[in-house]
Amino acid sequence: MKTIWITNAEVRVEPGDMPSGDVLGFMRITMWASSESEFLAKVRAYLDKYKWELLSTQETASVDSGRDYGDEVNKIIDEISENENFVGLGTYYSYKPE
Amino acid sequence: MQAHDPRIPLRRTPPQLHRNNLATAAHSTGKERDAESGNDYFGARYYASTMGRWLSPDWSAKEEPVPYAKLDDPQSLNLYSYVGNNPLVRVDADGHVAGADDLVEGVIVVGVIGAIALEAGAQAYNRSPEGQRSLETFTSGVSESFSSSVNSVKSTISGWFSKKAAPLPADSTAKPQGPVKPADAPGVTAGGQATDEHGRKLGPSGKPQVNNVPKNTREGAKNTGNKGGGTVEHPNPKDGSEPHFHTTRGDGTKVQDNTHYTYPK
Repeated sequence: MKTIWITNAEVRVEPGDMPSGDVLGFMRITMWASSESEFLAKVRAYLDKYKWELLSTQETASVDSGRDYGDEVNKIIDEISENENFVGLGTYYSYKPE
Repeated sequence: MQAHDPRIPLRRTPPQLHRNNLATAAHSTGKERDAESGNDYFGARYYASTMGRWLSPDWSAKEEPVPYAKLDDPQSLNLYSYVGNNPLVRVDADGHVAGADDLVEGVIVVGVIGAIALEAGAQAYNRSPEGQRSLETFTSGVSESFSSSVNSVKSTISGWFSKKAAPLPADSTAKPQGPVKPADAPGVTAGGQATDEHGRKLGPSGKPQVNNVPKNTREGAKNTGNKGGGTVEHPNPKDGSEPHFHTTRGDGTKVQDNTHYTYPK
């Protein structure tokens, strides 16, 4: 059964894609999937389309409807709840390479 | 002048049924007829009632190759024909080619003409008992003609409306449906911004548009993005209340609604 999954993904973007000029960062990604593996495969495939690279993931889990994920992610979850095709991308918290 | 023989009854003049004496009733066009020429005056031109044709071609104030012509109605191309050769249904109001707009008026005129003709016949009948036979023939003819006209009009109107009116859909409240966009097709938001096939707004570069908040360190970026949805645990509250927890926002702060979520027992 498909459910909504969420992860905190570390993503490498292309130079110039972000206003800060950073190419490394984390963002919350939500999608519908039947399993964690399918979810992560879909996330990777989606990022690849835009030449973004999935470097790592943290806190990957199916969405708990009783949990407060914060205003931004809660709003994304509301959107994706009504559209199984939707891909939710949260804020890209970028950092400079050390 | 020969004297009248009193043994012979006077031959009464039959009712005056000559068209010139029934100025409007006897004229199917409903227009004023010139008694001398027999032509009807329509305003724009004269109609020759004896030929059933106009005396002059149709014209319009605005210069046109074929005035008032409709390419889907070949009869309208003949500038001398009267009401498209269909006088039972159509009537010409002003001397220019009659169209469908004149249909209803034509129905009314046909009805009025028939009614007036019948009334005229009845009056003549009352005035002249000796003329009953000829009047009966006349009124019968008028009646039949009128009935025929009405039936013709009914048939034409029925056909006309059946052509004009499209059948209603089974659900008459259903709105016309355009092509349905596949759910996985790229689209455009109401504001005109392009989206990908997953509904993500795309920026000028054609890539998903996301907010960007730079952080100083990787850990900072990771933890900020990973915050939210957590809890503030109070398993052993100092105030002696039951063990409970609070929810937190995306930035990690406690939701200030003073709600204590108790642990399952």
